[in-house]
Amino acid sequence: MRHRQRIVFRPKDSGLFRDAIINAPYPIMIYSEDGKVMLISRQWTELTGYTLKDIPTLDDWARKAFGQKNGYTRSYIDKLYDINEGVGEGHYTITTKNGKSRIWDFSAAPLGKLSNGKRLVMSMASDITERKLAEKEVAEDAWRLNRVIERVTDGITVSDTNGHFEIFNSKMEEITGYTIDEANNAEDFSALIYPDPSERSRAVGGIREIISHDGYREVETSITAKDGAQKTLSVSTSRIHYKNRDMFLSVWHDITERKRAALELEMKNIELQRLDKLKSDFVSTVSHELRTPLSITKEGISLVLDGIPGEINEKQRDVLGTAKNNIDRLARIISDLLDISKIEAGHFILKKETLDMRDLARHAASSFMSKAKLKGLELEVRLPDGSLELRADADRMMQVLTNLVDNAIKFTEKGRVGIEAMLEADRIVCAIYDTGMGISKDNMPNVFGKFQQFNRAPGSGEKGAGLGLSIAKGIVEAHGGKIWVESEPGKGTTFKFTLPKK
Amino acid sequence: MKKKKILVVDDEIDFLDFIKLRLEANNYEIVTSGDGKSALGLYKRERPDAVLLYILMPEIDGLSVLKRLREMDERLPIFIITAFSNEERMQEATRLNANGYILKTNNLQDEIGKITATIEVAEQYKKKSRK
Repeated sequence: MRHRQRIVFRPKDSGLFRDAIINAPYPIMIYSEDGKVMLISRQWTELTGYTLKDIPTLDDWARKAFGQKNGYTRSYIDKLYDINEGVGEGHYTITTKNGKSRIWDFSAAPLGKLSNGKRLVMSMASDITERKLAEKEVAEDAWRLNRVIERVTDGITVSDTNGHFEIFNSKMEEITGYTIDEANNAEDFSALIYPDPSERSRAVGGIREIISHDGYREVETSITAKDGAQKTLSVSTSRIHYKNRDMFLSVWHDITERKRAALELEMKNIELQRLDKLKSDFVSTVSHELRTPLSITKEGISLVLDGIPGEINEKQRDVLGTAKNNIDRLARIISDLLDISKIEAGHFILKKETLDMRDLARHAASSFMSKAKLKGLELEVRLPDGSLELRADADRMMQVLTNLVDNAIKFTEKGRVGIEAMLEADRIVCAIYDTGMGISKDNMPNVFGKFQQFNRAPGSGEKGAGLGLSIAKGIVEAHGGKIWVESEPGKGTTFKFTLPKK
Repeated sequence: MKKKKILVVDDEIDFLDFIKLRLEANNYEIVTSGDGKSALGLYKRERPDAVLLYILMPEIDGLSVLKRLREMDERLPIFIITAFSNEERMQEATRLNANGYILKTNNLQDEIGKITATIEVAEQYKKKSRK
């Protein structure tokens, strides 16, 4: 509405003009400078609900639509006529007859003088209510989307086929160290983050792949941030339609920390394995090295005891006898240490064969018969008539029985020691019981622990390293069984273990 | 009756001393060698009735000595001396055509029983083949 000629109303034009205004597809109002509303278009009424009767003066209009007095002044009209052009007045919210709100974009223009000399102004509006609403919704959506994009803990970029970024969220800025402007202003942003040409071509090539398929691609890539830091990212890229163009949406997930932790873990593992092997090698080497001088010493003592380098007297015999017992004791301790280290390292190998538990029980009983008798103890064996066949390592099971019976005898001063075995469903159950001193409640949790010696009764050359029960547990568990103890101090102790038949 | 001669090869000098004492007490004549090299020469010179041979020696290892001895005499009683007590060694000995094994960690007097028995059997065989 810029260029308007001054129109002077002539009576014969006014009808045509009137009709044009009334039927115009816009809200139009014509008023004179004394505040009288001369004419309003049909649209004005349709949109606001006000007829000419409702708003005979500008004041009425202002009051009803804006709830205030009209701000038009004479000087305003003067100005309009001075510049002789229409002016835009801006967006205003008006209130319709039934209380609704509409947003109108107003403009005004000088129209000419009436015959009585009063100047006319044409006020025109564009109803932009719906548009404004839509704009508001779009803005809200955009705001919400932006919040999401910003809140997301991954880098998000949307770029076009030229590498220009439409979206480059703050997480992306944090990851790369570059702002969206820096990224867009750079001659080749990919060269910045991929200084290595081969890595760059791999990344760019990946994009081309997506261009050719309608696809989605997820890769691990390594970029160089602005400060030179190397970061490993997991990037998924897909094609999208954004702002009516073909673009690429990428989500950049920072896995630098995860990778570093995984690498550290792997290195720790390698170190652990190395140490474990070192330990195993150490134990087997040491035990071998210990055993050789041990057996030579033992043989030396045996030679003298057997009188081979010459006859010996009784006292010499006694002394050497003690020495020999302690050599045997040393040999047992070394054996135990080797066993326990094998069990703990998981290198414990069982040679399983089919055997009858009753045979083992009887064998154990017979080997301890004299020892029990010497202490005045009864040694009993309770076995079923039916076979107690199972698959187990004979030597190792003997080791368990020997250890348990030996302990039972050691800790019993009077009464009896017994071995009992039976079949229970698909398991063999064994019990070694005694009427000895028992185990106190405090000591119960530590019974199968390493290097445990509880109230050892003094005996010559007997004390070991306290590994026997720990090894027995290892052997039973290696067979897939369970071992436990029940005891009442002063009354007696029963060690029980189960073994699967297979 | 002439004493039976046994050649003992082991790089552990203390062990050699002791086993020599024990074997002599069991009425054997003993020649000893501390390494594989001199062992073969000693064998050729002394022609013992049995050989006790330690397997894990440095320089020339026991296995190659064993092989060479077997090449020279198929029926010679040879025992390998070992410090480990497991079936692997026994199988190893059998595979290499040794007659058995002596465990250093066991009571030597017991181990000697094996040697005596084996020498006797070899003797019988020799007598038979001469007839």
